[in-house]
Amino acid sequence: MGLAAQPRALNPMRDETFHPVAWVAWLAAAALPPLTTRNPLYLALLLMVAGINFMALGQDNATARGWATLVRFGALLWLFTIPFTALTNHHGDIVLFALPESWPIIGGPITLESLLFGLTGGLSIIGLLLIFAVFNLAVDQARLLRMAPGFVYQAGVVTAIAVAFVPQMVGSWQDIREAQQVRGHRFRGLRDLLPLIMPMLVTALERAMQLAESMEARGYGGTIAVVTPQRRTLIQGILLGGLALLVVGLGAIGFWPQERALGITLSVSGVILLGSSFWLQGQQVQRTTYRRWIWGRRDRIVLAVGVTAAVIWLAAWLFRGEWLFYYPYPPYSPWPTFQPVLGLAILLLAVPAFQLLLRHQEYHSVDPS
Amino acid sequence: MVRKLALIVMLLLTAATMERATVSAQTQLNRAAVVARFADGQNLVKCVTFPEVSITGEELLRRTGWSIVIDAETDQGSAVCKVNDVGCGVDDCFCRCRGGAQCEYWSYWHRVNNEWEYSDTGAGSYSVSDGALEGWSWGPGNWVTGTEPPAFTFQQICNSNTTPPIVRGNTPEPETDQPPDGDFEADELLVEPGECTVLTWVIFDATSVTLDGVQVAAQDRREVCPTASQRYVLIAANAIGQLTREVTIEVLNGGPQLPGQGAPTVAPQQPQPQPQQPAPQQPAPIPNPDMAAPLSTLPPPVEPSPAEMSLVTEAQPAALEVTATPEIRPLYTATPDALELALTALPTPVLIAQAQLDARAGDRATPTPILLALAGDAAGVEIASQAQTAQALDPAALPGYGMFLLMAAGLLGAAAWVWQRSRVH
Repeated sequence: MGLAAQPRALNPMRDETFHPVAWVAWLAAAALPPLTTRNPLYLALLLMVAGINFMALGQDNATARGWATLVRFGALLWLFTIPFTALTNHHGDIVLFALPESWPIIGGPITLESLLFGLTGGLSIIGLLLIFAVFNLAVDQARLLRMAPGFVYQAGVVTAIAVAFVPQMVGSWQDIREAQQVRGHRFRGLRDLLPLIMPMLVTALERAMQLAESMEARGYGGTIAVVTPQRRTLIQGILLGGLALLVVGLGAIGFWPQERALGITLSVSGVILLGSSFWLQGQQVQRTTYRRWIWGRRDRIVLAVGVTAAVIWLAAWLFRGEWLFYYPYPPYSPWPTFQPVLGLAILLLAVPAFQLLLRHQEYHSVDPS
Repeated sequence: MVRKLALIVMLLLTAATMERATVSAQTQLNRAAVVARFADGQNLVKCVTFPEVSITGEELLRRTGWSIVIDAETDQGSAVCKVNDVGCGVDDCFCRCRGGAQCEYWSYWHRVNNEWEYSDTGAGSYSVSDGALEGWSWGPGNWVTGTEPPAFTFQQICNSNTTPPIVRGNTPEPETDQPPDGDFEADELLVEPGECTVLTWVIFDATSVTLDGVQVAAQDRREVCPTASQRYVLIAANAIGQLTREVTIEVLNGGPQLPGQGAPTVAPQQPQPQPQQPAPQQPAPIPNPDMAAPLSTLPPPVEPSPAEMSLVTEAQPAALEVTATPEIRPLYTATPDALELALTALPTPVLIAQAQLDARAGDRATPTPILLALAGDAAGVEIASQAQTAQALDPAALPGYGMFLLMAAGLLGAAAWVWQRSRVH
């Protein structure tokens, strides 16, 4: 009973978290603060929120460990850049201490402002790293690729193959090396690479053939409609016209700022033409989805939370720019401001962590296997 | 490793002691001069004395006492964004450089062999020693050059206590073969009575720009709060031609449109009616330095609307009026090409004068403002008081900090809970 009886087409609880679209909304909302502000208070809250999500994902595999290492490395770099900024930038009025002027580069007053500036600059970078770590752990790449629109299906297929291919290559390299070591192979020089590379080429070729056969067997390429030459020319013409209009329009905005209306009109019509060309191309591809993702209650909650936080932050950025402004050097104040609304928007981003844990709990209580 | 470290420390110590020796040997004060050229061709000059052997160009600019905004961390090092309220904010230091043909910013110059040389290093890394003349100029430019500051010499600026210097208003005019061009717009074209809106304009290649007959900078913004519907006329002129742009602000439920009716914040500043007279044939007045706006310049040829004219005539009779304070007695030495001004009286060394170049040639009217500021050690041009930094904690921010601490504590609690849970599974 319970979950097993529902028509849920998919759910290995452990690997899948929420709908990729919900995670994309979360990513957009979480990446906005580090991209738009240097205010250390918001960034500190954001770091904590991203850390909570990272913990809640609770994954213990190679990818998770790799991301953790990367974040740790970023934090180390950050700790290194704080004294670097403080020592090389001598602006500011609050002098902590002074080094002799004759010392090259680092000589001069060391100010609290430059220390703060180094601190805030690194915070946003660490925040971004951690957010992308969470996103990568939470979302399966294959699932993201499946969301690629129709007109880029070729690029999607190539990317999917590449993403699958690299780990396979690494794996087979290790296998081959082990096998050759068992046979007494020792690596002494470039010449000894040959017994390693030849088998690898052979396996790679075999794998490519296998992939092509399996794609053929699943009917890949069979659903692409036959295109008449006229239609192809039409699509390419629209594409070319759209690109040309876009370039001219952007150039007009840049070089003749007084003709702003004309430039914007040209650019917008260029974008419309491009969009219609893509839509026409996408029409040729009909795709069926083998496994459908059903939007559950928790998926919707995560999506709503992400969208709300992003909207609040965007509104603040567009209409209350001074809320986000922080610049420690004079003539501005080194004291950051804090708006509770923006703090709450960041707190909202912690919701996916709790949803994850609650779902685990639910799953284990229903199905004690 | 330890030996290397010891060596480095010893080297640094040696350098430090050497520096101390040179400092103690240095007893006299050094001087360097700074020129800042603004968009409308007006200039500020200042002689700065400093006890060090050399200081950075940026430090020199700070010590002028002008209000300076510096972006300490751009891609190219530090950059000067704003001098005395002209320029960009620190959040977008190159706000007039948007990929177009014209890019305006504060360019940095050194005076070498009586030539201005565009600095190829930033002000933060250039060292200025005794006798240097440094230039800052706001005007069109690109990444390899900018608008040259006017030709001053170090002696003109720093040796003012010996002889009254004769400074020629040497304003380099933009060399162009086109009439002026640019934009003039308002944030809101429709306002409620009592509501304010902001007029913004950017004019290129102009030698004079006037807003309703008042000389203004080539690019600026101004808040206006019209009580009745009001038309604002911006006229830009150079030797080739003239550009007229208009913006009409409609006031809802306001009276009928009255062109030229007083806009409270755009106060006509000694406007002069010159009907049907493209080239004013009268010498320029010298405004009283006690006036609120010291950087006044002569209005260029404008043809005011009738209403404006009556207002203007009321404000000032169309007669030559030279206002001079007792301390300053101007001497005119009129030459066909330039008007030279000499000051005979100090110690109030601030004089702002305007002159009309080529006043007799009726066909070419190019009003050239001359701003002459003599800055001795004691007195100088201190237009804007240095912006006081709010470094103390503002008590109004305290509730916000309380909320932050509350949220951070909540998040820490949540993190502990999540950590425990994720360990269970």
